[in-house]
Amino acid sequence: MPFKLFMSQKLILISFLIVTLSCSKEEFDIQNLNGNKISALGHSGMGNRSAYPRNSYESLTKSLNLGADGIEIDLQLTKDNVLIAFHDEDLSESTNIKGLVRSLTWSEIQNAYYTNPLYTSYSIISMDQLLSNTDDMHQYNYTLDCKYHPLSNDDTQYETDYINALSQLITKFNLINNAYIESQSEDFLRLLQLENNEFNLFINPYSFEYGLETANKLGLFGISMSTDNISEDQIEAAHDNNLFIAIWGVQTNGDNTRAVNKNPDFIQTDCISHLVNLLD
Amino acid sequence: MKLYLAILLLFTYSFCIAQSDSLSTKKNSIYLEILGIGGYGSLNYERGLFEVNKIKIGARLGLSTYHLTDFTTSFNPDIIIPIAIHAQYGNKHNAEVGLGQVISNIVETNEVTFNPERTTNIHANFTIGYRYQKPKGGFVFRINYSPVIEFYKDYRHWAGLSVGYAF
Repeated sequence: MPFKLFMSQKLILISFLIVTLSCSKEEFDIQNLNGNKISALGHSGMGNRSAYPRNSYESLTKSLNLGADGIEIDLQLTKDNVLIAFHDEDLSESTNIKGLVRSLTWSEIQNAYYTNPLYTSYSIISMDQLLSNTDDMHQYNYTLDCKYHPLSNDDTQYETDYINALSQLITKFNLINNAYIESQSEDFLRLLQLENNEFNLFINPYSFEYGLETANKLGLFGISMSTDNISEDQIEAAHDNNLFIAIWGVQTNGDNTRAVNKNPDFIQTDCISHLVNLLD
Repeated sequence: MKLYLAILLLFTYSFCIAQSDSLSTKKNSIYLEILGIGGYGSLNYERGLFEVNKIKIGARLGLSTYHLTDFTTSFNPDIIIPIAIHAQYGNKHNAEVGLGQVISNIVETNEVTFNPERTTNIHANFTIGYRYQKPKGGFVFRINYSPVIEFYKDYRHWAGLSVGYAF
């Protein structure tokens, strides 16, 4: 009998320890340029694994409502110079209409809908619509991933139109402190800098070394890299150069934890709920 | 398509009355379908209506969703209801064809107010595939090509795989 009592007490203690340990939150020693805080951003809203289409109003808004510090948005320019939230170069890849975004006007695109998932008809939205309908807009960060798709190499007007539209958008909604502009193109970033040297510009480079060199040369705000292609030491090196780091390609809960341990300033994740809870 | 479905239902009903002899195969089955006419997946109940020789006719009703909460994070689930009539030919290994409708009630954004708004639509579907089910019941396996005519407008290639239990 005493042995049974001892065993049952032991079992209760073990169970208590398991429950306590599994409920305890992981602690992180975050040291970065962002006030030692990592901003959790929803990748195109709720990310690639959500049933909501990327960049749809539903996806972007749900991410913010789940506690994200901001959202990453893929930005494209229509034929009549309207900035829309859309990822693919050709609309036929994910909607019921065909054509390049740059070859169609906003009124032609406005009535299109995403074809997945089945039985839904989520719309494409313009940045103007998104920002006009986001409550407390200025409490969030917006990483604007500039998808650069001119109709041809001769489309020199495209760059100018894109920069003008972006500049007007930021001015109209007073987003100079909330918008972070990403591009793979050094030339495009240089032109944006000439347009307004207060823009927070990130280069999205093919390698960390190139990114560090270019960001230092142009005096950019930071570097945006895939989590697979940047180490904790490289992030520390960027911070030593006063460059912020945004990391993307974070697709799972495990990726979230690994990303946080690298001490970046921003994480663009497909699992926003988990990251928000992790950083809470 | 709606006309075809009406004819099929009428045909099924007439046959039910004419052939109301006892069913030798287990009448009920429950299965989980991955993809299929429920979208990304659905839980389904199927009831055998009648059977003659190796031909069996059954009706299916399912339930599926994409989200339980809307984009404001309020509980406001999408509802997808696949309904179909299936005909099978075989004993344990069956060829299966089906025809049906899907009722979708999806929460989307109102284009003016940007608030959540429910939209109800009807879509047509048909299926052709293989079904494993012993007459005495037990394990059910289905695999099929199940295209959907979304909004009665857009033809969409689709497929489904089901596992379940007949009783």
